[in-house]
Amino acid sequence: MLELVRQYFVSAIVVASALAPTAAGISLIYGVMRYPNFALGEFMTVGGYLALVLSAALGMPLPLAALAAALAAGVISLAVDQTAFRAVRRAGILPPILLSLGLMLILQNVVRIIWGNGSWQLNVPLARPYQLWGFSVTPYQLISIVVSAVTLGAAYVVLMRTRFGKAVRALADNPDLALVSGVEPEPVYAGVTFMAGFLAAIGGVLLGLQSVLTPLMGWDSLLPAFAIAILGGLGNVMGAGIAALIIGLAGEYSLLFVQSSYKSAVAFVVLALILIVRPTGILGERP
Amino acid sequence: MLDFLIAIVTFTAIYAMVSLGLNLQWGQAGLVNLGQVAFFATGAYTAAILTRANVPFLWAILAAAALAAVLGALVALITPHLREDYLAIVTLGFAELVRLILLNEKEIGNGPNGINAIPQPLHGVAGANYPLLFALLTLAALAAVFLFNERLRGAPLGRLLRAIRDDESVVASIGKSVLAFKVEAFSLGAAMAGAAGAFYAAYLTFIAPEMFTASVSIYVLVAVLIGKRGSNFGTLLGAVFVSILLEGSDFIKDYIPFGTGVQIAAFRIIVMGAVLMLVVLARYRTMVES
Amino acid sequence: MESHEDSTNPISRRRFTALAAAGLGLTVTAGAGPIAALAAGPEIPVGTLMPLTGAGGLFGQNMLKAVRAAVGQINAAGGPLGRKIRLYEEDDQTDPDAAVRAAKKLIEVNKVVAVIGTWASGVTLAVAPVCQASRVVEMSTSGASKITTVQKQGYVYRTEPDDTLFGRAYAEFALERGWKRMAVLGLNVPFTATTVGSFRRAFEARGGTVLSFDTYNQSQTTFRSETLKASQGNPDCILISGYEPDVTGILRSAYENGLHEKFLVPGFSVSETLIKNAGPAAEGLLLVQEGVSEGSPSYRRVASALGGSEYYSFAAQAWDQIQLVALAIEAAKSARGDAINRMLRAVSGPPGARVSSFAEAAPLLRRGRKVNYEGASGSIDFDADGNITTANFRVAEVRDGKIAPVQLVKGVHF
Repeated sequence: MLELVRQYFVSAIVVASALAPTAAGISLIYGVMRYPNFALGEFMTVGGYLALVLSAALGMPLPLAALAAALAAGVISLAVDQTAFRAVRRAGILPPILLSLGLMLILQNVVRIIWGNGSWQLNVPLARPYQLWGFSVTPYQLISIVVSAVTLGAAYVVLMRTRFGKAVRALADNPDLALVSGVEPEPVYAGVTFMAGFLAAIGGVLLGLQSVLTPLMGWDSLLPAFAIAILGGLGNVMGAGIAALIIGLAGEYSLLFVQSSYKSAVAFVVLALILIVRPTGILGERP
Repeated sequence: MLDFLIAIVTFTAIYAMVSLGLNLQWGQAGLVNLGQVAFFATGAYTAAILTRANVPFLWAILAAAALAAVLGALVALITPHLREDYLAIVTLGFAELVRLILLNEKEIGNGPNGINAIPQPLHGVAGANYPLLFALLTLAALAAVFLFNERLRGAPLGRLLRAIRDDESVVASIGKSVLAFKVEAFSLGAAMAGAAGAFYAAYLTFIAPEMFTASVSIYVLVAVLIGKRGSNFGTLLGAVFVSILLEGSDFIKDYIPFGTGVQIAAFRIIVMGAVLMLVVLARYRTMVES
Repeated sequence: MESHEDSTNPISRRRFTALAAAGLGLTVTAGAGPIAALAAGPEIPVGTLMPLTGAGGLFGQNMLKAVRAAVGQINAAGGPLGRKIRLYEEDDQTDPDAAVRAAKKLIEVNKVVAVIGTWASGVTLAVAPVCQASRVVEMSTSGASKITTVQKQGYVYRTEPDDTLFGRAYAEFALERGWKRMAVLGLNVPFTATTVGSFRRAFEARGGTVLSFDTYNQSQTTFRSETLKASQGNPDCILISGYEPDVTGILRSAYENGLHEKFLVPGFSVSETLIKNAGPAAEGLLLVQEGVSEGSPSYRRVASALGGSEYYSFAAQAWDQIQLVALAIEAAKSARGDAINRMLRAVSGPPGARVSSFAEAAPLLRRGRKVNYEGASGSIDFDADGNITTANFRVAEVRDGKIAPVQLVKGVHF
């Protein structure tokens, strides 16, 4: 039992590492552009499959393939934003929700048309675990944790240390004030959508390292990623990382009490409880 | 073909009732509920269990609506201070929780196996024309819900709800309890979904947790949004639009002469996604005005 | 999509036409010449209702491929009553609601005489009343025991052994191996609910212990903790009742957790893809396979139609379903649903000449002989409820990346 308690901790970090980048992407779009983007789960899927093609079919090393896949996903995200979402910028929360739902259906089924319903595996060798301070962990689990942390860290630096980041924060905090003080919103929106697609695709590759690629992988990760994004505070990238850990820990440790099939509900129970106490998430709405 | 149309009309009428409930919550009171399927499922399970225990259908509908209303009130009571975009995700998660409870707690409705052999009202009265009779019953219920919503729109409560939607603080400042009205709107909308659930269970004679996923909430959300905000007639048209989108794309696919079955099925859903996006882009202006 | 061209040689085509003329004699109206009526005999619409998207999509894609290939062969052999079968393919999205709407379309608009391939138990149960009300045959690959109660009203046939049998097959094999302590991980679907229940009863009645039974959701993507939990208390073997993606995930997790437990899984969850994806984690995996009659002529046709050497249980069943429908139409001399329903039992089981395809059976049926179809998924003899009377279970093991047969499971009957 004690052994389980110890090992579940590793599971939680590994799960969190795959979900955190996507949640950060959701959080950015939600925080800056004020709508929940349901298609970001599909950018995970697209990222995973693109990395598969680039590495398996074109022979790129996986890290390079993952980076290229994430850039491509960012470009797709940006392109859709400019052609569709841009038109509904000032139309409230629901039109962009509907657009993202439509986009979700399209992306998921484009993947299905190209790769079918079967599962695919990124080309990573299976490994037996190391023992690290009493925790069993495999090299790819460690890589996943490090890549996730570095990605979130980089996003954080971009948001804190660049002029773009300053504009993002200004728009997230108080859009009216930001506009009055001369922030050009469109370039910021474009940058945020690109970042969100990029982050989600990285999350997709990380999930692919832990599991198999299927057309439903993004949809299956969407609800927990939403819970994490809100819990972390909208627009708050570091918050997303911490919230991913909280949701991950809550989900894994719930196994001590309930069936695993309640796991996805645990995320929401935690979310609801925290929101009742703190209506703006754990860290509030800051990047 | 006529029988097929009767079936589609029945489905559309049931989903239109769920949509009218959402229209009351969102269109009138501004509550963004992405978990309408939870109340639909509650109604369906309540009615299925009761009618199987020989409770008359009419009572089962009322019980289904009542239980869904109670659940709706509960959700509204624990989320009074949430911003509209948070409420959206919390209700989405709430619906998932309800589905998982139905799936895991086998005492309620046999878990994943679901409930079958659900009795149908007035079965055997109309013989071969029973589907038509059922469609008429459903349409009658839809008409009742529609008229109720229309009357509410003109009634003081409806005006108050719209005022809350537009600016909460104004309503609060004239000494009205905003929370009480929100709870009322939320539970009334949930009750409509619950009643629709009763018809759904009786129509299909079989229900299982897998039928009550987020996609139902999404369909009804699309129906409400396609219409004009707060307009009940617009919601009806929206429900018809969703049906045409679902069924029409199914007919188109019969004429695609290439591709594996999976590719054709996926293509159909891509068409649905694209049409949805195009319609939003063409009509988003009317979605936000009321 | 469908091949409407006649690819048989002219001689056999003429013979078929002549034989079919005899069969059709009654339905040809007095005014129309028999040749004209036959040359353009109306196509027989048959519907497929399979999961092509959603959680069951993996199975539906092979099932539909098999049915398309079978229809090609049936039509090439002249088709039932000398008419071609026209397939209408619907996607049930692994969702009973979408399935009911698709079934209504198939029956009311396309006027199909049979709906084949319903896979998820929920879909089969939801569609059954629709088919029964319209007197259309429903052929299912679902195993849930509950379906039997629905079958009592006719028109619903299952080529998959009942889930309770599947559960008993697990128990038989486990006890034969001398295992006393098992853990169970199961995808939360009707298949798991029934098979695990039945496994548990049979296993515990004869001294076995089920250490833990955890269910997980279809939407779950990682399984590290679940696998660790199941391995607690050192079970002799862990039973995973799931589908390919989750079974792959669990096997990989077990390997990455450093576990050395044995795993037992249903045969339909394992394919070459799983063996490739799970790699070393799949070695030694034990499979309880149902519903394939390997080495039979029908199975060889399914395997050659689908390519590769995967174990195609559901595809083999779908293949048999369309063959049986074609045979029943030929035997009933009518393509009406009620006529098919009347003849399905007769063409599926004894007495009669054993046949393995429509092409082989059609000449016999046209001479008024009885046939007994021996399918790709088993001998398929329907009982009064429309369930198969005998089911063969076989245990296989993954060795060196190949699925190698180990033994038959005996003593599992209805």
